[in-house]
Amino acid sequence: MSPIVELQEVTKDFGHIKALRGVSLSFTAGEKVSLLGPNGAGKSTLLKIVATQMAPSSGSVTVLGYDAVKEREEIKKRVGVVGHRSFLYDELTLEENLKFYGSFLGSGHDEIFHALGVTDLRRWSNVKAGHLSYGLRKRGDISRALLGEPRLLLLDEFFSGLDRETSEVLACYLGEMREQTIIISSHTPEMVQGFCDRTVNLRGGMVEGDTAA
Amino acid sequence: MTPGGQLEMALRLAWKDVMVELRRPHELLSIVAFTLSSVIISSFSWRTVLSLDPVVVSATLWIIMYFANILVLTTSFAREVDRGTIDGLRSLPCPPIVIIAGKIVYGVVILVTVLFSLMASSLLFLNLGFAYVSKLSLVFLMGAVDLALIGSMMSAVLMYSEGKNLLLAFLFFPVSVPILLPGIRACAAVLSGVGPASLLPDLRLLLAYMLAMVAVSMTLFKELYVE
Repeated sequence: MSPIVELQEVTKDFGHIKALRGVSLSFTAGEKVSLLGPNGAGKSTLLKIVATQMAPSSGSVTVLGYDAVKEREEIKKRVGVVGHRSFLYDELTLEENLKFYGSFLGSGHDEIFHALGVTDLRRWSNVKAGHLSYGLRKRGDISRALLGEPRLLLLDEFFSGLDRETSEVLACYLGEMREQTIIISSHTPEMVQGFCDRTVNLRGGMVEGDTAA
Repeated sequence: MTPGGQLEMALRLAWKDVMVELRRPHELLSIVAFTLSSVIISSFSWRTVLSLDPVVVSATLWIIMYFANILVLTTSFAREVDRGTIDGLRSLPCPPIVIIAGKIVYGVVILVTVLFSLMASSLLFLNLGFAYVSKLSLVFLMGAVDLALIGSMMSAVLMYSEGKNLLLAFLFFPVSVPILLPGIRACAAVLSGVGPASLLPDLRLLLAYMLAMVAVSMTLFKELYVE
């Protein structure tokens, strides 16, 4: 099976700080991968590079067959991203937020309605994002990331700040997504290993371990 | 992607920013309040003067516009960074030029609101004649577009700086001079009652600076936007 994401000898420097040091990894369609490592291991940097929000200092990155430096927009159309901070605007309702992001992906009302349904948020659709609890916001972020029917979902520090019960509910939603490849970063392995079938350990910007569950 | 498609996306971004601004109107209202109070304070000091010096009135109106612009545009990108939504904008499948264009359109919309309150309060408190309003508005509108252009770019340049508000206040002035000089001169000419032909050189300067800043934005913003 051809890889959906391929990184070859990827490095990322921030001045004298080396966030990634020659990372080579590939992920195939449908995989659920947990990206583990302590703070500063390079997890978020790696996800940002795959999401084309950041350019690598060297090496090559291919996502869904597109070059992550030269064909950013093609990749962005096909990748859903949930950052460790919410992308939702406090002043807009959940539905307005999804309409705004969806309008760049050609998502119509039906798709937005469906995305809200996946995370069971339809009854909250007219509530301003700023009035939602942290857990509901995270669910809103998943719904937003599902717009445009992405083939790849990138979730950065997804479970941080969530209580166990909410984390389990969200893990359940993610576990039900069979079609998407999911790469989820975390510094706490307990939550992600339940539904992931592969674990990549990063430390000091290098791959320390890569094991199937 | 066609230029029309890009413009449509930029307008969507601007619309989002305007909606966000209208849902938390305290910032916009504080800028309008600043404009009104500045004009009223000026009217206090000029209450005994029968004939106002056009140059002084022009400078006063531009000072108000300049500071209103700083208040509006310091938050343009900084707010996105502070809230974490900048990564949401980065995730959108559109070229970086669309993002800066959206911010510029938003800046122009807010500055036009400020301009409206500036003109209305000047009519009331500075005894500005109705005959001047259309010409003054044209000059200020061109200035507002210029200010929104450089304000948005400066806001983008400084979005990750810790002391962005202080830096913006310092750095915004030198890049505003090419707007303030012809702007003040053109408004003074309008208030002196000279013909439209004498405004043209200054309006051309404002237009030239606008085009130069569009070129700068299109060239540099991509480098600022992609981390």
